[in-house]
Amino acid sequence: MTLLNMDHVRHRFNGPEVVRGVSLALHAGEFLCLLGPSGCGKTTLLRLAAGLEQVQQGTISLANQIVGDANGCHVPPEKRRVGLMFQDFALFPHLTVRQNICFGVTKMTPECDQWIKQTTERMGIAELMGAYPHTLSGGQQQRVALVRALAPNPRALLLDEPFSGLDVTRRASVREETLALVQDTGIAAMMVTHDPEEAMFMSDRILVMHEGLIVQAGSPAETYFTPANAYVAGLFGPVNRLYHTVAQRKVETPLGVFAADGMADGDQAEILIRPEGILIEKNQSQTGCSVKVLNARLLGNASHLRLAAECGSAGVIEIQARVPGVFLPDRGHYVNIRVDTEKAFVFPT
Amino acid sequence: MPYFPQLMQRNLRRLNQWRNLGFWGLGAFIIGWLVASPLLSILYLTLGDNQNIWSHLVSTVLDDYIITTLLLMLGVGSGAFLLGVSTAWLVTLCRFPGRGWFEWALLLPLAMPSYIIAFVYTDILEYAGPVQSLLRDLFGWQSPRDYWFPEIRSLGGAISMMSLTLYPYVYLLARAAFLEQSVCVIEVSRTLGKTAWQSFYSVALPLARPAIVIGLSMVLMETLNDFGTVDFFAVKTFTAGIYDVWLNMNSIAGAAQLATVLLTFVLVLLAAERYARGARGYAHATNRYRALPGYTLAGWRKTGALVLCLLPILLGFLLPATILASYAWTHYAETLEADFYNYLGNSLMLSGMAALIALSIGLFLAYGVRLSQSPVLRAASRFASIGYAMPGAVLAVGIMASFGALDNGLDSWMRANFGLSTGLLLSGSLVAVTFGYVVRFLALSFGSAEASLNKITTSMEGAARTLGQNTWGTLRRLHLPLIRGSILAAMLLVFVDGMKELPMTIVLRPFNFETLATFVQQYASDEMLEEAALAALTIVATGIIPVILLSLGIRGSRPGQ
Repeated sequence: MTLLNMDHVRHRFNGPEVVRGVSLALHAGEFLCLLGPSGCGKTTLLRLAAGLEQVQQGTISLANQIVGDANGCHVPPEKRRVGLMFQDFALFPHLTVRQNICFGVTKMTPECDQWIKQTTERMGIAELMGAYPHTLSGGQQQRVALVRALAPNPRALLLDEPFSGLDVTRRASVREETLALVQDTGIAAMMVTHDPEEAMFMSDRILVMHEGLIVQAGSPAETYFTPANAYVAGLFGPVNRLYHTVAQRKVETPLGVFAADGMADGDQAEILIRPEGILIEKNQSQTGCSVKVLNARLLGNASHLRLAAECGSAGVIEIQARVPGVFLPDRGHYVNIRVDTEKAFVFPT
Repeated sequence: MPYFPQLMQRNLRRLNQWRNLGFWGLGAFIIGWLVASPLLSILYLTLGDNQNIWSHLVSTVLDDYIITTLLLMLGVGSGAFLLGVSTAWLVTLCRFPGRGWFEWALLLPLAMPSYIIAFVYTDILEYAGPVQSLLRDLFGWQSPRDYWFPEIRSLGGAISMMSLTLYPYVYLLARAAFLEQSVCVIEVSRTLGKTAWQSFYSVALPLARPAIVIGLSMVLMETLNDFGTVDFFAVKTFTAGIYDVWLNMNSIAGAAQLATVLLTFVLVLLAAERYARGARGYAHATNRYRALPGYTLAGWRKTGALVLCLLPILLGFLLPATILASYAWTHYAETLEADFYNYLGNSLMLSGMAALIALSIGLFLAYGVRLSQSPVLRAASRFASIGYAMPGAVLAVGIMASFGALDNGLDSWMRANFGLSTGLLLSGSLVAVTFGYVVRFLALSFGSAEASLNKITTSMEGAARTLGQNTWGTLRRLHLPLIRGSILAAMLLVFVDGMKELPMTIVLRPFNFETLATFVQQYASDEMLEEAALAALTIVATGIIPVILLSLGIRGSRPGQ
């Protein structure tokens, strides 16, 4: 069942459009992620869905009922039964943790009371019920905000960058707890984030947004392994970029030959290779090549290498590689590399 | 026609939407008009028929009014600047005995309305007063021709009285500005070879300039507003002139024309204030803060600082308050006999009502502006809070004129339609006085409601909405509890200002209706200050409340700590 449906939604704030015709559907029980850099319009979409912004163009419906359209239909946020978790958590400073959590509960039933008791215990905030928000740590505030959003039993949960306010060490565990709670609740959730790793970890489906448009929709694996364009491919961190001309539907590069399907001969192609797509070979293989080590650094569970490939007339091209484990060859040494074609993408420029 | 209900529904929705927006918009529009009505009626009167009174005013008294008012502003401005800035610098950056006490005690004269210290000083400094009597006894002088003694009831006297009671505005803002400044910039100035005093003149003072300009413009607005002091001292300023033309020459048009000229003075002050507020941005030259160094003073410097800080407190508060207290002690029975409780009740009721209404309207405007985010509404509410700059005399003329027109209109309509004369319903009623208070003090409540609402993030609002509260519920459960403290403080300030108010009350009040302020004014004019001392002391005592609030507020206001 489609729970939230947005149809050709456009939006602007006294300037150029920030949302330029977005259609999306959130299905029951699904965890959907809007991934994109800041300013791509993803938070605006959340606010539109929650009813905090009025629809200017397009239609938004909740459970097949129109809640906002361009004709002035606007169901106010308090009538939508949609939970929203804010980036800054937006806990009410004058209320205790318990009062914050119960703020949206209109009628305290025994089931609801039971749910709050269980959930706060599970999230490790049961002892903090009498405390005021300013005395809590960031992680505790995040959990209170999550429980508060879920307590009125909303139809859908919207999360706006829910982990960006936390420090890196805390983030992973809070992320896991949040996902587990949302999954156990069975509620449909839509999260906004600029962190691709977070999106991959949390969601069933990722919608990549760029300049107010959805540029790709798919599973985390699809987004990672078959990016729709160079922008999506570049989202997951720095990539190696090469530029070559297509000949016989292929591009030949010093690092190997790549298929250029759907491109005509003579077209300029952009080849993107993820750093983890550079594989170190023990021996020189037919498809690989030998490159000079400029620099090698240990990152912990992986090693980062800066390599220089000498390509005759084309000069020297620099390559970044990310190798699992400890691999720290001396500077100036030569190593043999090969490109993992699953992590290399060819796009027209 | 299946389409028809759908269409109707859609139109209904549109109507609803318009109504939602219209509620705040319409409210702000009405308030804006109401508040602007005195100003508009003054402009209307100015342009209307004036029976040549204007040319008469120009040829006789106008020059006098302008020169006297300018001299008064110059005098009070300089006095307040010197007292305010020097004491602020001393208590902020120097260390000397009693500094902690001076920090808040320097605000005490704020509790003293200038007309009250004018009454007190006249009482003790006039020919028959204790000071001159003592001098005559000591030196054997017989008559005024035997010696020279400064005349307190003069322009100079008015300047001294107002400087003594108004300098705390400059002190307060200058002190806040010095506290905000980073010591780093002063230390850089020292390492570049400037002495402490040179650093003050070349770095600290220029950085604090916007704040000082704001403080000074507030002082000058109060100076223009004053009626009690200039009336008592017979100093011919605009305010005195407006009442003279209005009540003695019986020409409200002439009074309105004088008021318009006075308003141009106010516009200049407003522009200066606006400019200074805009320019405050540069005061934060750096974000690094360190503890203030605290130059420890010794020797003659220490004595000088002590005297400089003690003098304004002594003359502006301690001495007049002590004198009033002693008078009240000896003459309280007379005051009580003169129906003191009735006047106290009147003052409390009037100020309380004004505070409540000003608060409700201020909150309504501030919340409406925030909800709608509409620039039109914002502009309307800014306009509605302009009353604080309008001198009481100007407002009084405007209110009298517009209420009079309303009364006359209603009366003739009722007579024409029902053969019934309603007479003067609003003019000279409590409604008129309360309205005057609200217009003049609305800026206080609106400003503080807006400032405290701005501290609530929009996401908190969004959270409350998505958790099931509508706009009113959000106001009730989120905003009101969070801003309660500061709006109560604002309400108190309006209340206290109402207790002190004289220029509007004196002409707008109903016949035979006395407040503490008008009672004191009347008795002091009849040289019976002792008999009214208890009432004066009561006004001063309520005036202490904002002093306490302010002194609590400026503690811990320093950023970075």
